[in-house]
Amino acid sequence: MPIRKVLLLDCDETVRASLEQGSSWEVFCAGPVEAPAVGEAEKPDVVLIDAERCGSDLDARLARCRAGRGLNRAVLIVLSTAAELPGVIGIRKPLDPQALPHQVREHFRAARFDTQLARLEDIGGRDFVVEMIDLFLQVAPQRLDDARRGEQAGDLEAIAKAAHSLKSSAGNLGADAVQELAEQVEQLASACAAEAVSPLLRRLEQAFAESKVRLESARGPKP
Amino acid sequence: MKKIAVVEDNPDNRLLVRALLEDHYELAEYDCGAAALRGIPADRPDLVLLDISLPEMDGTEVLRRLRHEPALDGLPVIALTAHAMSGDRARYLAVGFDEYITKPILDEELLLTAIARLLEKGPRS
Repeated sequence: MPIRKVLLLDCDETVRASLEQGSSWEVFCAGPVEAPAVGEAEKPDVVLIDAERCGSDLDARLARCRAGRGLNRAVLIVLSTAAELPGVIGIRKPLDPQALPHQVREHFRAARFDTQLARLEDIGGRDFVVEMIDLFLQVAPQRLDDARRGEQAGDLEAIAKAAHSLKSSAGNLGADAVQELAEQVEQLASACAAEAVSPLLRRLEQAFAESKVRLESARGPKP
Repeated sequence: MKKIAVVEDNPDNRLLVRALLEDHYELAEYDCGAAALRGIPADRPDLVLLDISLPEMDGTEVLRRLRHEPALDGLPVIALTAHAMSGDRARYLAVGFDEYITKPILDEELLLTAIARLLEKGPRS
């Protein structure tokens, strides 16, 4: 699991300490004024904002965050909040320091397709996103076929190569589950752990099937 | 406009790199090592982005052969790779790559900055 960056707006030391445990998050703190600059310098994956600390200034702070180049819509903003805020990605207070790193990661994973596709759209526009999705949906099944053929032939090198290729393609589109499983398959196949590869390949096929549904939905109907 | 050779077998990765770079650089794309070794000496790019896991001939072998071309002396070559385990960066720099960028490309500015720095720096010493 790669280390991700989180920017805490209006830093709370308890929250910071909580997220720094377990080494899955690299934590940066900023006040509302410097947040856009810190965001541009550090390019966080997630911004965590304490809604109550912002008070009535929340909407203005969100707008200021989004206006910065480093905190555009490809970055997930999560609010910690004591109240139910409809339509907002939030974590309810009181925060559980033990659970917080996992909660933030779950939100990040759930929104990953949307944030990564938004990033691609910023890079090349809507047509580019559609082209990337179409290419992935065309190439990924070929890689899975290559891996299956390698499995049947007992060719671990072929499995590792297919998984390696799939890993970066999946990452381009935010298909994190596919990316992570492909990485595990590659590592096991490279380590000649043949008996462990097959069950993981089945999970990889399932993860691809799930990502295909999400990506086809994001792509929209073909003309 | 400076010219960059992109050696990458995955069409989706080529498409992404093209989208990131085509406004800034002239691009020549190759989908395997053999095609790159035929095209790069003739095309004389200013920099090469070279995937490692290429079919038939991997990127380190392509690099080794490029480094033996006197006409390409000093050509900056960036390893663009999904090999992102601990120690990989040092390993690829040690075999002669000038920079190492991991795929998927999650930070396009890192790539653009590395390219700009190497082009500004000029030929390798």
